[in-house]
Amino acid sequence: MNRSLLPLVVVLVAAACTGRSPAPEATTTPAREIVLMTHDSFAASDEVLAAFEDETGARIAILEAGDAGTMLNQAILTKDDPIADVLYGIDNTFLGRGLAEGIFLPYESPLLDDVDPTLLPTDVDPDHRVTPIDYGDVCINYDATFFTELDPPATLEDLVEPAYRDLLVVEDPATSSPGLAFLLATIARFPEDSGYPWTRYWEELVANGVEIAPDWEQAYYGRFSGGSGEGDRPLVVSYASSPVAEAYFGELDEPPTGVVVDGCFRQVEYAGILRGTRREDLARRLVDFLLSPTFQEDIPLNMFVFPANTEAGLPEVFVEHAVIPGSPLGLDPELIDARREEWIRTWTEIVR
Amino acid sequence: MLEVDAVTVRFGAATALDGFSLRVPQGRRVAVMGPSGSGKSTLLRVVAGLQRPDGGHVRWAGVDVTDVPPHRRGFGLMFQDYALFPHRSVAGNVAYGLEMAGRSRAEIAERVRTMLELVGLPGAEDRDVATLSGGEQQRVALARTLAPAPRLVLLDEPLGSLDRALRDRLLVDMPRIFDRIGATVVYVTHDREEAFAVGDEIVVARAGRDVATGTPEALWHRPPDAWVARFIGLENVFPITRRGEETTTGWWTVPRVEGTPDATHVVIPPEAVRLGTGPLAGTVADARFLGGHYLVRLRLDVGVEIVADVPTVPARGSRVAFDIDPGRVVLVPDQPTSSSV
Amino acid sequence: MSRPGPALRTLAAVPLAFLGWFFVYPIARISLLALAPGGRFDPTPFAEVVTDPGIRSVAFFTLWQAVASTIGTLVLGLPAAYVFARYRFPGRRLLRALMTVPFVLPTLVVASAFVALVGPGGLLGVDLQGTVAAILLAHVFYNVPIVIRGVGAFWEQVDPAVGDAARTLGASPVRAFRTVTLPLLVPALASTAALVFLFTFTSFGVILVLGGFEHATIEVEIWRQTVAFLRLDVAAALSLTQLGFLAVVLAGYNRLQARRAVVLPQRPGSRHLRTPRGARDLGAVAGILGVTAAFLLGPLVVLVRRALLTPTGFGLDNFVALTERTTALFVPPVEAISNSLRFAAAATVLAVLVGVTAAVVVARDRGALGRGLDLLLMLPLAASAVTIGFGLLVSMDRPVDLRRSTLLLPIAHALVAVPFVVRAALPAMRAIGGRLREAAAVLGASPWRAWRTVEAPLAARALAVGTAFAFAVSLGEFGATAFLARPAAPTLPIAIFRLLGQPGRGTIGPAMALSVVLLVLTVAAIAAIETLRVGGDEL
Repeated sequence: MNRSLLPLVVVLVAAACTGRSPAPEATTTPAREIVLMTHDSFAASDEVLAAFEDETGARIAILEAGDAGTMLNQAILTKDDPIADVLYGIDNTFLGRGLAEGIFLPYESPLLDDVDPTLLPTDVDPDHRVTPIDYGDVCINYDATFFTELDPPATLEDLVEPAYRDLLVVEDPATSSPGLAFLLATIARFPEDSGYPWTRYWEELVANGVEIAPDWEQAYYGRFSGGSGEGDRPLVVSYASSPVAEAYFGELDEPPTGVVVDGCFRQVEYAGILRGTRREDLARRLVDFLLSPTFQEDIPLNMFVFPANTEAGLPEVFVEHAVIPGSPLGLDPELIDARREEWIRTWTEIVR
Repeated sequence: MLEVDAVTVRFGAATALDGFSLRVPQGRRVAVMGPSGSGKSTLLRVVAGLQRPDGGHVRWAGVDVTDVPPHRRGFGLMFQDYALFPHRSVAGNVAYGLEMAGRSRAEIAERVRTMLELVGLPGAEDRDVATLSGGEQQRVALARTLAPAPRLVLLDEPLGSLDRALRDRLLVDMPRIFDRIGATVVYVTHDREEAFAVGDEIVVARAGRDVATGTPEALWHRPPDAWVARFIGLENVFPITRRGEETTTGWWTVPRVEGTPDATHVVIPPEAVRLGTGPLAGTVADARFLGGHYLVRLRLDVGVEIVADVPTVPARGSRVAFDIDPGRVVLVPDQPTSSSV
Repeated sequence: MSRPGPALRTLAAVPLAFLGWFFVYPIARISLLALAPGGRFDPTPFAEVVTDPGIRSVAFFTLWQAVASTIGTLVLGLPAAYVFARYRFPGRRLLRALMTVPFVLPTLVVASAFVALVGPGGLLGVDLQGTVAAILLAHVFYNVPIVIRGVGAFWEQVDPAVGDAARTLGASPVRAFRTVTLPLLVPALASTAALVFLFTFTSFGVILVLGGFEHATIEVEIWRQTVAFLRLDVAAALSLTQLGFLAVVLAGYNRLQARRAVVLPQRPGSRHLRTPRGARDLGAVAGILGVTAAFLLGPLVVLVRRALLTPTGFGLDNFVALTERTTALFVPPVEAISNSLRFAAAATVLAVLVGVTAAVVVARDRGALGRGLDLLLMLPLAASAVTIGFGLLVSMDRPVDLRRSTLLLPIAHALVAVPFVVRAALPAMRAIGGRLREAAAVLGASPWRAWRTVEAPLAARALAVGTAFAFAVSLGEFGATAFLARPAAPTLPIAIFRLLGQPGRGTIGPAMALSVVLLVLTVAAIAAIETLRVGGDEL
């Protein structure tokens, strides 16, 4: 019996030996580290992050906490004992919930003066609990090699025309952030109380053979035929900057895909200081840093969205190929927060 | 007629049956008797078709059935511990073979009733087999085995786990039942009494071989060797030595030498020991009343004991003279040979 | 039996308080959340659960995949169960022990193994990740051992003479199986099927990793409603609905277990075993064992292979990479090992304390207290791990805020482990003080010697088995942990899940390496159980 107990004893002893002080919780980390909670799509250059450390002596610990929605919910579920100091990546489709849950501390960064004023959610957030960091537009992308004889669609309305039957793939708004943005675009364009409500538009899209993919990766890489996509559908819901990425990574002079500039929905991503942080000063400096040209100019080629700071210069490939839709659609964050689940449910019933 | 011809079964390195042969004429009962491990049960499994032999043949009425699967042989096997179907009632058990034979429902019901009456359990149809006593289970198993009227009935230690009184009663009942239906029977047991009661003929099995075959009387009076003699219950088996013309046990000179020259033992049946007069003497060590006669154990001065079957009993501890009927003793070799009596 | 004495009542307070605070109270809070989200009775969450087409399709998928998994498990498991029940062959014990391994593996290790096998870039060259096929394969892999052990052990006790009797009464092999052997196996088959159904119905980690976005069980949906949608009321309604359904299934399982106990007289099984003879017999036995072993052990081999695979050949790079911090995980993955070991040590202490005191009370008191406690102890089994995690998440703010306590995870793990500890300790606790002590006394042992020579070893062994069980359960626990673990202190399963969830970032290799670590730790704990366990009392 003694010998047969051995593995267990070994395991228990090992457990006891490793029983050192608890792993560093965010709030108990040494002052020289600050935890930035963000979503899985976050990316930044190491040297840029190192610049903050040089500047303040504090290291940025990145805590990726799932997709944007999951990240926010985790912040809400742990709001009594936050697991990070700053949250970055909450966008205007989730902003209402974040503000309503009261998870952010107000902070007015001096750099706000340089931010494109249209990005500020002044109506719902007059005391600057969140700060815009970047923005991007969710638009229909098209495969340029497919549309040689047929013109690419020019408007959302075109998509229900027989000419564009079985060409479009979109993402499920329940599980995909661009999918949700596109649904919101259609809701903004075809209001419920109008003669042609969004529900009717979607019924016609379904009749015209729209395909639903669970997330952006599967839609773009799996189903879309253009650029790096390996599917057979020449129209996809993606970002206005996707062609830039195609050109950049493909090292091409001209991107193989294009953007339908009508019916785009603008996603703005914000950062906010989490209530309960024990390093509010450092957190403020981190927000300032996120808005600084150092970080802002690093954004485009890492996350393929646009910097909120108008002083930040754009990389050449953006200057050359980027399309910024003139009048993107938008909806009130509080309205989105109030109706999001209901809209998604209605949408689900229509497409199923 | 069942003919088992030099059947061999090996389990890995162990040999369960080693050229075993057996004949059972139609309507006869043969008891196969042997200690545990002698291959008796394996023999029954081979005959039933549950075990494929590595060598040898099984024939029924001259037809080789060695390769016929068990369900096409029409032999009935009653298992040690009975192997009743726990999920079926008494009637369900007895009816099973009849159902397999495709009999009509009315026919089955009638047959089940008859069989239960035959084994002395009338009206037990609906009972749950789990509620039956050991003897009742035995009877149900017998009824189940006999119900489809098998051409050959095989029984594997059928009384093994019953108490004595029950066993004695069934030992009377079973042969009668077999007689009534004229069954051809192979009855496997380790018990001499059972074998003698049931078998018209006895086959002694040892280490996978048939070492002796004969009627109970023939085996008793003419055991082929010392081992068989002891196994069937003859206790007076003594080694002999030959000095010139004389053959002796050391305390008694065997007067008449019969049997093969390789004889090493003398077998003295207990009824051949006559008390009262004679050249030999011993002290009464023990006496057992067997109802009408006694089995008396005498201790001789040289230390050996001899058993006598006598009508009256001397006092324990008393010294008695005795004589041995030379006409009833047998000289035998030590080791079994495959020769028959 | 008279009413329980004060000592026993005091003892009972330990498990009652633990279960009351950390199980009954959270369930009550879940009920409140589901039935009265706004403080007043309001069945909207339930209405949503019933009417929402998304949730309905989740429920439907949960049910049908569980049924399909159960059927597949039985189909693959029965031939091997038969071979183990009827044949004797060299290495039988070892092979049976090895084939049990998948069942005791943490779900995340199973998921990793199947990613390595049929995931993107998997060894088989087909990417089944996100398909029902991958889920069913993993479920069958996971549960076949239950059939081999459960049905096999029962089958071994069915006297083969019963089948032989049918043959000599004129039944063909098929008919004998159908009319005799199969009916006798039904209780074991049904209770095993119920267990497999239960496990696959509440599948969480495997679905989360292999199911992609399309496939969700109710467990996954509860999690998703919580972390992705923050619909706590809907999650609560789902939890309650599932809890009710599982309680019914478990009650049915218990009745089958009870029936199974009376059908057959207990017989030593091993005397029925036979050595395979002849080419057909040998071929069938070798074929069945070969296919089953390949299916049960293959994925583990593939997992180890994938853990050792580096871009330049085989090496320990993936293990070395565990010391490096990546974006997928907040801390270097190696920290998850010490986290898991610490949590498991704490959970084991809790589970053994609660489980053993509970076992003493259940063993000693035949009255309402013992029986009630016995039933209460089994309830956490019916409640899924996800429900336990969710319940603790929504309830531990009051009366004391335990949500930031490092004890919360060990508490959750202990809840999941306690039923196992009780089952392991109960037979010994029943034996203690009863016939064994009398037997020892008759043999001349003084009470102290009787305790020392008979009862103490028994108790120690039960304790050790319970300890190893709790330890293994805690190491692999994922469902409850997914709600409660904090990013700065991930457990091994959480770390594996995070690493697996970031394809294309070079974290798959380290995920596999971490899975191997968890595999080794778990197998060590289970090996301790196997060597300690007396007799073969099956789950």
